[in-house]
Amino acid sequence: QNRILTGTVVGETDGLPIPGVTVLDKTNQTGTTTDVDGKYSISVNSNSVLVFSFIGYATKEFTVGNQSVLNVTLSEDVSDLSEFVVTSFGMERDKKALGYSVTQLSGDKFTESRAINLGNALTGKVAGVNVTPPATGAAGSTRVVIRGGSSLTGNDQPLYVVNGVPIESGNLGSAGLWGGNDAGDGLAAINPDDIESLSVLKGNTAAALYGARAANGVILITTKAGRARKGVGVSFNSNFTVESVVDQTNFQRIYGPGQDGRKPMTQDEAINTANNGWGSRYDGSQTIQFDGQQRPYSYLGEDFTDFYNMGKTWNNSIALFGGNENTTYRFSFSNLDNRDVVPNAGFTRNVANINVNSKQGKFTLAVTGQYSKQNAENRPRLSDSPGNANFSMVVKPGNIPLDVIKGDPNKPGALPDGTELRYQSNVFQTNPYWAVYQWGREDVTDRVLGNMSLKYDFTDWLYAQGRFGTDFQVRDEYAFEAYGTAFKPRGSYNTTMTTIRENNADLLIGFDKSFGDFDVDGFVGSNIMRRTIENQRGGGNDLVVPFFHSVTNVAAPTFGYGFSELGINSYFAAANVGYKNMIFLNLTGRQDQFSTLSPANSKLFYPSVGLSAVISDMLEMPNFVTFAKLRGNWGQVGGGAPNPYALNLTYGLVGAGHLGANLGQINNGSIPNANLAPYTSTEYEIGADIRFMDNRLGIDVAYYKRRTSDDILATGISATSGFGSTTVNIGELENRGIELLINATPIMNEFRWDISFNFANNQSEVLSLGTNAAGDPIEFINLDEARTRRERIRHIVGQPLGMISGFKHLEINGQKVYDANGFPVTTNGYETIAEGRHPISGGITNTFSYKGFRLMALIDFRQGGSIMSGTDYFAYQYGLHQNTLNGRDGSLTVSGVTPEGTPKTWTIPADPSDPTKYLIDNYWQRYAQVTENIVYDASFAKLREFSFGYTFPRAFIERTPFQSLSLSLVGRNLAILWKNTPNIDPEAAYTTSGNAQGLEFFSVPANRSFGFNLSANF
Amino acid sequence: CSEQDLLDLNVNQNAVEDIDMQYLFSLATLRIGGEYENTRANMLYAATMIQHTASTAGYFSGDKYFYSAQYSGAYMERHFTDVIRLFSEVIRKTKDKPNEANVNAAATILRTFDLLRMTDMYGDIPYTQAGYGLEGEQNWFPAYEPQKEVYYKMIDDLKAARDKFSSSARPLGVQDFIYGGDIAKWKKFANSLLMRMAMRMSNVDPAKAQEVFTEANSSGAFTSNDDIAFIHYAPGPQGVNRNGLNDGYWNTYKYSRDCKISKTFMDWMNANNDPRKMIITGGIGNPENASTWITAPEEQIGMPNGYNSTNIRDVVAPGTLDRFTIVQQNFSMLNLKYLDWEDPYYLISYAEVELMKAEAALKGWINSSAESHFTAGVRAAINSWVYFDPDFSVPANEVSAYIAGRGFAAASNQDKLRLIGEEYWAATYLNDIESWSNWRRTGYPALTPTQDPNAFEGNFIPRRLRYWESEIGSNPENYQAATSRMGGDLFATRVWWDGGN
Repeated sequence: QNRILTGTVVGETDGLPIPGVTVLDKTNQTGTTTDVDGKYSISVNSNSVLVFSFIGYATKEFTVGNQSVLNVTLSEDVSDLSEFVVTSFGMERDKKALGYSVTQLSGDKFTESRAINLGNALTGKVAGVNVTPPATGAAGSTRVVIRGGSSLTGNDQPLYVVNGVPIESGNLGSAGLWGGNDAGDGLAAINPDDIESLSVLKGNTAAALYGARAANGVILITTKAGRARKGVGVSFNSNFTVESVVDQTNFQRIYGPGQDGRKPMTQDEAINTANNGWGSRYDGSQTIQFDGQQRPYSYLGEDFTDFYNMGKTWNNSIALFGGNENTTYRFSFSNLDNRDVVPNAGFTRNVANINVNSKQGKFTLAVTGQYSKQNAENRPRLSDSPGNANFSMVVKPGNIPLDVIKGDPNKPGALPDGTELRYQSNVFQTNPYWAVYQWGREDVTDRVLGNMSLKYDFTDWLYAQGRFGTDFQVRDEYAFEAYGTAFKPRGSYNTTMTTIRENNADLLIGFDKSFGDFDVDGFVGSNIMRRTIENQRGGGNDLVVPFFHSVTNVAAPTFGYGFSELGINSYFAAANVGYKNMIFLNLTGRQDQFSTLSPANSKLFYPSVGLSAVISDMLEMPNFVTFAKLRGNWGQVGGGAPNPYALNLTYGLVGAGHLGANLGQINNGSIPNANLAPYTSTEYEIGADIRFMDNRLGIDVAYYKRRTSDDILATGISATSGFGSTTVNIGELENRGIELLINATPIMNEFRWDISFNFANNQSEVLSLGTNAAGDPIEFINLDEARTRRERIRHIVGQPLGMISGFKHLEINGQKVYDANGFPVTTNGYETIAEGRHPISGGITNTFSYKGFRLMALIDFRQGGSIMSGTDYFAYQYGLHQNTLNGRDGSLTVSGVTPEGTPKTWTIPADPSDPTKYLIDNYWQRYAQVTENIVYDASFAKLREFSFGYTFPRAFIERTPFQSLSLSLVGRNLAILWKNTPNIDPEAAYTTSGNAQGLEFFSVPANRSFGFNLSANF
Repeated sequence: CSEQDLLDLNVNQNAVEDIDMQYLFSLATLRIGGEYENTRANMLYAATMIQHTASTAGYFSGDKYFYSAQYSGAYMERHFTDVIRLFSEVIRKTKDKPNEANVNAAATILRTFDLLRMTDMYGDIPYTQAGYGLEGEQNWFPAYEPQKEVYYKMIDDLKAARDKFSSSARPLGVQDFIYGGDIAKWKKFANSLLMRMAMRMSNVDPAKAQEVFTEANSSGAFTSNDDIAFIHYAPGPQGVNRNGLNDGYWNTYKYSRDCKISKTFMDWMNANNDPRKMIITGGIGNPENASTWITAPEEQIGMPNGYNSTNIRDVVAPGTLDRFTIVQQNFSMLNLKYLDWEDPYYLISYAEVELMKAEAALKGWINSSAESHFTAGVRAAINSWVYFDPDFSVPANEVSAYIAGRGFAAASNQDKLRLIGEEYWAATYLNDIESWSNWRRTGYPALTPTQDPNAFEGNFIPRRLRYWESEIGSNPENYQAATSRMGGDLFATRVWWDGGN
């Protein structure tokens, strides 16, 4: 008996009608969707089972019975097992039809604890995605590596695609051996509040349709769209957090500055030994300091945390949205204002975003656009000491008051004559106040991301779609080293303007049709990508008018110009075949042609195939098994097309010449190779997705093995050849690993407890680095080193990627060797010490909800990697390390063997009355020169995210203009639960570059944040 | 869009695949005087080791024989990639082009000059393959060659270059910052370098040394100060065209008090009534504050090498440290007039040639008068200061009086060698790397090593610098082969020609 059933579908949190909800009668296979008011009507009979589904909401099923009205409240999907996921080219696909691993996060998942940086917000959330936080504040870049990366020395960061179009997300500069700044990355332009969902395509098969640029995985970002509703919806979010640095140093504060066990007696000595904690015991007596003043010789208790500020971040956003059945729109504006923990530094970002979708007859038009303006002030200097306040603060003498170092209160860090106040003799260790207040740096980025697509439906199963996307940004930057800086007395001033344009155009024709038990869909298409990067630089050293910091004041400014252009032309096709909605086959193929490769090697074809079988629909399963799927896939992608113009040797002119002559240089920094080909990465993956007890427990497990061959290696060669590196197609590496995701809901009633646990173990191995000129296998290649210059990150054949190598303590038959003085003797060359990257990563999120309350905590962990501590190196050199307390009374004895192998015991003298008999300082300095003594296990677990929120009940706000209102307390990095690195944070890298992972050298101390968040809908 | 359009994107519109090799030659010439390595190898190590200057600051590593890996390795670190790469490229691209004979020959001479300096500092070095990485992968890990073989090859290369200059080939003109394209002077430069090499090997390979010296002498070395090989720099616009050594000194003058005229040098000038004294030193105090600036010659005080700011009190005369509370300000500064960015950077001088000839005459290699060579050498050394500043001109009678006071004519042969060695030491002030090499060969001037418990290997003046440590990792087999051949990579390890004192 058929009859008409009507009702309204509303959302649980805001109580607003949801238009467009699919209402399906499972028994009759008939269906409809809700209208703009969330209303539906459908013909049913008494056996009908209705399924209500909508993206982002948990699907609900009802058996109809006799009722004529059925009002439904859908709750937002809190598990990560949402049925539909966004895949390549923005296609939404049923997850069960995929033969590969995709993890999708809804927008609220990574805005919950209010990370400013999108990359940071991914930390600990997705199995196999390893995030290294920025070495610097809000404006810094993050390092995101999926499944260990595909290349030894090339880019190992994923491709970011916003609404179907790739964006430029690369790192814009980072600190190196000689210092520098983290210049941020392209992700900073995205406001996390604008994100509807984010999909991580981990494997080759998932990413194959993006071709070469997807070799390290793809992160697909879909921004929020409007919703059909009555009137204009308003959504407002306001967030405020405070950040503070965490002092992880634990230095000795018993002995003060001086040398050979004595405190300074003269002003000169005070200057020369200010940073040298090898004086006498602090005794509180009046003692001369660098400025000739007498002050108590005692530790003042001022830690470097007294130098840093409480950071403050406001992030407010407002969105207006609405629409009808045919057209929806959303407009949002957000403002972020961050004052960094480093004094005088900060970051602001304004983003205006628009999203319009319209369906008119057979045409569907989608337009999204975003304008952002970012302004980063005084990005802190990192790594090497010049201009690095962090360096100066960590090693600051304990007996000089910060106020004294600060000097002129109206010009911090300066002497009365306006130049740098030096309290110690090394010009290259800059006064921290001078570094942050007197040096200047700012970069302003204007950026437009635009994207429009037009789709035409020829029939209900055949369509064509054209899309054009642009990413256009201009970055204006200046940086000056102040006039009066000790190591650069007349200062410097430089400006750079960089323009980056990336355009993508694609056209595709697709179909979707059923033939009996078979559902077939697919598309063919082509894509053209063009990118240009242009920069103009001006400036130089030596300012003419003292303390006038302007490019117009440079004594003899020079001009620089850089331009590069690259393109990729591609064709691609995909087909998906489903049989009885149980077995699915996915096929893709793509050909890329690169402008940057030699014509003979410029084309590469990448195929992939995936198979998925829903065995719970095929076989009889026990009742507690709700769903079971097995999947397997194989895919190839290529990558690593070199930078433009890397194939040939070119020459250029240097500056303005000299005495009427021209100066010419070799442009290439590395020996060029005209025959470079893209590398190939081949991966297979098997996995299972099993859910039990009505989805209360879900397990997703994957195993993959990926081999990269012909990797393009920038391999280090001897600089005596004239070049430090060359580029060759020789590398082979393998990443294999398992990924596990478990979602569980142990308690599900008024009180609800959800657990999400993810774990990944990626084992990388360098298989081959080619052969050298003599035909012998190359055993390792050198990557970065830190300013200590007693270590190298290396890729070594047969070992995981990125090993820390350096000096070990020389041994003879297992006995440590000491020299005549009893000082450690190092190995003759570098030895392998430890792995610099973590193979194991994961996170566990617990969420508790009760009525309107919700508490979430994410603990993430990393395990297996190590780090070289530049901080400890200097802590030993400067007598600050706790270990350097040993033997200051002359009691340290060491036992080992002489270089000849004779067993011997040495007592290290420490007699302050005779400098020739005070060698304990030399002992500990030599001790730290044995690299292995300052390499530590960097494994850790951190309480990464925390939030506690309350959503006001509807009854409470009924008489207010609010339709929903929630308030929460949020926190990030609140506690380190476990670590093994003394004096430093285990994540304290100074760069997000893959070539330097495992090196620590005085970046901004780790910080924790805490704040509140208010969100409201009108 | 066509395939060709795509491939055309990779044509760099802002670079060329061919360029006038003279332009590369010019940049490489300027880089010989680069700031980084000249500060470290010359100012921090050589000048204090050879006791031209002294410092109480620990980072002047040569004063007390500390080891700083970066300072010790700096010259190797920079010059293979900055300098040798370019000269090797110029030579490679022009070797079969008769019209480019002059740039080819000049590049060969400067490449040899720079690598000669390097082998004298470090011992065995890559020579044949150095900087030729672009030629092919066989040169990516250059072999270190025994110093003797390096010397022999350099001698052949210098002679070949000297004979290659041609007036019918394209001239160097303004691209040549040493001689403005004067090929006669380039030939003299080559011969003068051959003399330097001959003298260096005179203790260990006397027959070859004599043969090389006499051949160079008859071919013709420098004959006047007009021939001096120095690089002409400018105050800017970019760092690369400044005298980098002076860049280093300028910084240490301006903001630190960290390096002074050595007592050894000052005492020697005082004892001989040297007219260069108030050229070498400008005064005591703060030159920017006239009331504290002491320029009276008799008030000048050299700083003893080997002390820090505390223990220096024990060794200076009472009252010495009373003028200024900052200990170092009580000692004589370097004269700012020779530390300008555009001041000359010496490669080899006419004075050195005459002093070498004086020694050769004593050795019986040549027949001319040792005394007249000595006189000409000393006079040239004193007179060449005007290239730094016209104020440095010294009246001829003062020069003559000084030379007469040295008593060369009446001295014993041994004393003559000492006098030559001392004058060579004075003449190569600022080119301290050369002073140090000549000291290692001859033992002159007689220097007393400094005593400091923190000296890395011991209290002796280093016989070489230690290699750039990066090579341990990036060129391990060749590095190991070189160090085992030389008997170590230490300050104490003697290079092949160091068989003198």
